[in-house]
Formats: sequence, C-alpha cells, structure tokens
Amino acid sequence: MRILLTIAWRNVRQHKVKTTIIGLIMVIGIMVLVVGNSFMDTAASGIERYYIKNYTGHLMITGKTRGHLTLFGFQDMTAMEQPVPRIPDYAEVVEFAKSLPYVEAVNPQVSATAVVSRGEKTLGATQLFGVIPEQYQAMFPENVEILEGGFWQPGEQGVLLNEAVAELLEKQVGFTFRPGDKLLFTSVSTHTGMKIREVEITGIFRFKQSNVQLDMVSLMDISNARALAGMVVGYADPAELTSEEQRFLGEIDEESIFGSADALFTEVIVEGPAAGDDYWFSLFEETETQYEAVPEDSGAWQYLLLRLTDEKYLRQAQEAFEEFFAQKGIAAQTRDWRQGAGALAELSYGIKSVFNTIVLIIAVVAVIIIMNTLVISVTERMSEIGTMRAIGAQKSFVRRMIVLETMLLAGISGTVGVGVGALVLFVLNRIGLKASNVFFEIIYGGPELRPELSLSSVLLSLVVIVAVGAISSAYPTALVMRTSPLKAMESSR
Amino acid sequence: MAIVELDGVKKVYYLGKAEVHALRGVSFSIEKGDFASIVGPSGSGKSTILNLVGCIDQPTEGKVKINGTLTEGLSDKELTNLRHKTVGFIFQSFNLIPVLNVYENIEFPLLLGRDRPSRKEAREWIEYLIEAVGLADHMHHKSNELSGGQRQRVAIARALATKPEIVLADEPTANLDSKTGQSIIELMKKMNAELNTTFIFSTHDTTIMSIADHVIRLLDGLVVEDTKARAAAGGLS
Repeated sequence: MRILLTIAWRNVRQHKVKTTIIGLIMVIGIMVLVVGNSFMDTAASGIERYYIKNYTGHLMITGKTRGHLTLFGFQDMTAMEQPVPRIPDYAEVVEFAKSLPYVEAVNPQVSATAVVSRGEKTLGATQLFGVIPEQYQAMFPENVEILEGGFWQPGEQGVLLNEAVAELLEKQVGFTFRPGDKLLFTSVSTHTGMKIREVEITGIFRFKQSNVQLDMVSLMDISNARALAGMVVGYADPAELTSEEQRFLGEIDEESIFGSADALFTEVIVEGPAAGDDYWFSLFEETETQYEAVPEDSGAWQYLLLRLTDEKYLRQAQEAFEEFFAQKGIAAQTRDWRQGAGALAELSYGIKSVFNTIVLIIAVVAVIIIMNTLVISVTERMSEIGTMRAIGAQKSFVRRMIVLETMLLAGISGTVGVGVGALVLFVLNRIGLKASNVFFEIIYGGPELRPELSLSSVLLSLVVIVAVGAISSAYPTALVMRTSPLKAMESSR
Repeated sequence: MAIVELDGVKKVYYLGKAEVHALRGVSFSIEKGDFASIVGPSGSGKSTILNLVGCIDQPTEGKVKINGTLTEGLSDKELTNLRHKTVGFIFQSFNLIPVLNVYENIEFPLLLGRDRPSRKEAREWIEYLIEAVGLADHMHHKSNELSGGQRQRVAIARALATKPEIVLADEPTANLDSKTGQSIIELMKKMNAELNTTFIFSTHDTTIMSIADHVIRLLDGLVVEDTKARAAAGGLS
C-alpha cells in the first residue's frame, strides 16, 4: 500500500496538466454542489420552520382519503371526485392527541374556497380557513398581524380578511373594505351544490410571513366556513316525543313523502340522529340562522393540526395515531407538515430536485471529461504499466494504482472544493440574499436568505466525488487491466 | 540442471489475415548459471523466445518449461507469480518507473509478492545491489537524473532484487555507447558469477556473444546453432 500511495501521490504531482484539468473540474463541481445544496438546505429548513410555526404544525390529521390532500384542499384531480372528508370520531381523536405527552397544542380547521362578490359584482376568489380564534392563536401565536378590527367574538360570525385579498378586491371596485362591511362568499361543489354566505368583515390582517399562496387565505368563523366547505353538520340533541307524536311520525317515511324517486338523490352518509334533518332542510332553503345552533366544536372538522414539543417525535406521533386509528377502526390518517403545506412548499423541494438533476448532468459531463483525460494519461503510461506487470505486478495492483490516483486527486479536489464552497457561503451569509420577486421568495422560504454550510451538502459532495472518481476511472482501469506485459517489451524496442 | 527448456515451440502471430511464423519449431535448453546469448538478425525470433521464457507470451505449439514449471495452461495470476519469483527483466530502454528514485525502483519488485523479506533484510539487500552496480552515490536520484548507463545499472539491480533464477535482457546495450555497453556486460557477468543467476540476453553485439558461455543462433524462426562452451573469463579484456 505504501508503494501504491507513493506512486499515486508522485504521479498526481508529476502529471501537472492532467492534475490541473481533472482537479479544476472537480473543485468547481464540488463547490457548486456544496453552495447549491447548502443554499437549498437553508431555504428548506427556513420553509420548514416557517410552515410548522405558522400554518401547519408538525402533523395534520384528516379523514382517510386518497389523493393529494393539503391544508388548502385537494391539489390534484381528486378534488373533482370527492369532498375533503371530515375527521370521524373527532372527539375521541382530540382526546387521544391531548393524551400524548409530546403533543403541545392542537388546532382544528376547515378549508374552503369561495368566490367573493359584493352586490352583483364578482370580485375574485379566496381561500378560507375556518377556525376557532382562541385555538388558532394558541397554536400559531405569532403568525397573524391584525391591521384593523380583529377576530370575531366567541359565538359570533365573521371573516378576518387577508390584506392581500382586501387590496385585490379594492382594485376591482375602487372601494376600501373595512370592518363592518359585508361580503358575499359563494362556493360551488359537485357534491353539495352551491353555498352562499353573506359574512361581515370583522378585521383586516396579514400573515407575518407569507407567500403568494398564503396571501389568498382569509380566516372565517367555523359555521360559515363549514357551510362553504359543503359540510353536513351533525348536531345530536334527542327530542322527547309524546306517544301521539311517535305514532304520527311512525306512519311517515321517505317513501310516503317522495314516492320512489331514489334515483334523484345521492346517498349521503351522516352521523347522529338529527343529522339527516339538517341535510333535508338545506335542500329547501339556505338561512343565516340555520347553522347558528351548531356549536363550534361540534365534531365537524376536516383537519386537526398538532404541534409537537419537538420535531423528533414526528414519526413516533404518526405511528401512535396510525395504531390508534387501526385499533379503534377510525377512518382517519396522518400527514406530515410537508404534505399539509401544499404546492408552494413542495415547489421549493421540487426546485432542489431540479438542481440535483442539473448537478447530475454536470457530473456526467465531468465524468466524461475526466475519463478522457485519464484514458490519455494511462495510454501514455502503457509502457510503465507493462513494465510493472512484467516484473510481477498483478492486474489487481495496477487497478488499485489507477483507482488510488483518481481517488487521491478526487479527495484533494473535493476538499479544496468544499473549502471554496464554504468560503462562498460565508460571504453570502454575511451579505444575505434578498428575494427580488415572488419566485425567489418561494425558493428562499422568505424575503431574505442567509445560506449556511450544511453537513448534508458536504456528505453529498463526498459521495458524488467518490462516485465520479470511481465511474470515471472505470474505463481507464479496464484499459490498464488489459495491458499486457508485452507492452513493456514492445515499447522498449 | 536445465532452468529453461523449449521443446518444439512454434509461435504464429496474426497480422490481419496474414500469418507470421515467428518460431517454426524451436527446441533447446539452458542450464542454471548459464550466461546465454540468443543471437540472430531482426525477425529471426529472438524477442519471441525472450517473451516465452519470460512468461509474458504463450507458444502456439510446443512446450516451455521454466525452472521445472510448464507454462502451458497457467492463469495470468500464476504466470505473474512465476515471473515475479523466477524471472528478472532488463529492458532495452531501461523501463524504470519515472516517479520512483533508484532505491525505490530496485525495491519495487520486493513489494509486489506475498513472501516479502523483512524491511531490514530488504534494505540490506537493496543497498548491496546498489553498491554492486556502482550507484551508491545516486540512491535517491530519479531516473531522469541519471545517464543511460546508470539507468541500465538500476535496471540490472532491479532485475536481481527478488533473487530470481533467470534474468532476461532484451538487447541491454542497444541504447548505450560501446564503452558503457561493455561496462554493463561486465556488470552482468559479475552478477552472474557472484549470484549464480542465469542470464539470457538477445543481442546483435558480437562482443557480448564472445563472452557468452552458451550461444543460440536463430534464423527465420529456427535454431541454426546451439553452442555450449564456457567463454574465457578474460574475453572482454
């Protein structure tokens, strides 16, 4: 091994052109990899902190469903096929969540998309999060900045309008919306039909850290949000009937009222003895007071967001819930914050994948250049290699020699590349990168990014450099292995 | 005792569709301790014989036995081991490893095998060889810092490093001036006498032929003369 190292090291030093070409390619490649990945990792960790802290918590529980369900509803074609399911046995699920020592806070939520209009004029669309203000603020204490007015009072209804939505509406009508004004929210669903709610603006707010997706989100009282989400709300309140009433009702059934028109109706599964009534009444008429009697925490929720004491409990929490759901036969499931965060959070990860694809292409090009350089190098050394074989070196010896030389060069270049990359990152960290537009804001996970050297990028660089070294030396090594000791004799003559 | 035996050896090379008969049925043997010379004009088959004896090529037909081992059917690994233990090479163009110095070039074959001498033994032996070839003052010089004659001396020392039974020299003086060439032959003869190592060399040089104690003359791939006679010790003087 000593002689191999000696030969490898001296060859690296002696063949300056080869060393410079290969070394430079590797240094630049590794530097780009370290800077790029550290950049992406810093942005990703920013996005992670930002979403967990402000919008999603660590874990999201929903009713069991297929499709790509996020906090903003389905983000794929599934949206056309099914409504966002409610969480079954909600009370039991919440009770279980609160019993877990690492669950710090819980927040139930409903999501709806509605068209906003005033009078006859349609102004635009907004995403609505139906929430209970106290629970929402307890879960995300620092994400909302109230600009005017405030949340609706307990038991009341209202909408806290996003500043960005308010500005958008203002542009449409040339009118500044203020608390006390009313807006008409309309949602349309193939499953529940059209729902219209007139809701008073109780305040204007902005998310302290936002992006284009979150700029479209307004917060709404849960009654109206449920209605707009097309949720059928169950309210169990057993009524005492006299024997005369019971006898009278016993003679009435659906058949006697509607005849045999089953084909006209879609089967609706509801819970609770009185839930059916809500549904039937909703078919005839929409009233403002229809949902007032429904308690806020009635159990009709689409999402239950959980904040954990530490992210390290995420997997443990997921497993505990999955076991609990299986045990109790509850058709619910968990999703981590990233699945819950939606398209924009995933976009930043997508960009990382694109970056890594570009790096892969660069790596392939680098492999080809390095391989060519090595082929030229070993061709020039055929006589030397033939001599080694003639005087007793096995094929494995010359293979190890070539691989070691490449790896030595890769190791030195990789170290220099990481060093240069770290220096570039240090400078970028000091300067700070400002997001010049929304696209960069998404990538950065905020308005500014101060990239830091990430361990994973260094480890990835090491893996890449070893892989590039190994792959690019494979063909030259194969050439060397085929070198006959006769080469020594022939070149000598 | 025969250290090298060739029996009915034929070697055919293919140049495209053309067959080149380098050896057409060669038989001879060389005794241990011989200072043997293979002579003949270009294309007579000298190099082919050296390649076969050096186990870096295989005959098309016939048998080659080196130190009692038949080379036929041996794997590349076995042939390499046989070369390493039994044969030392001296090349026409010296073929030193350019990144290694004199000491390291001589040490190199000792680091290849499994049965390596201790570091102390190796150092003593290498220093003896360096002293013997007259390069004690150039021990740490690289090959590009040496003259042709000095390089060939290093090559001789390297060929003897593993204490082989046979040293093959392919026209060892071809790239040297006559005076240096003569000193190299003297050195080889000295090592032959001191270590009882068999030396087999191909040459055109009549001076070398005159001191060889076994001359095999080739013509068109056939042995035309096989003379075994102890040359006079003072043949070179």
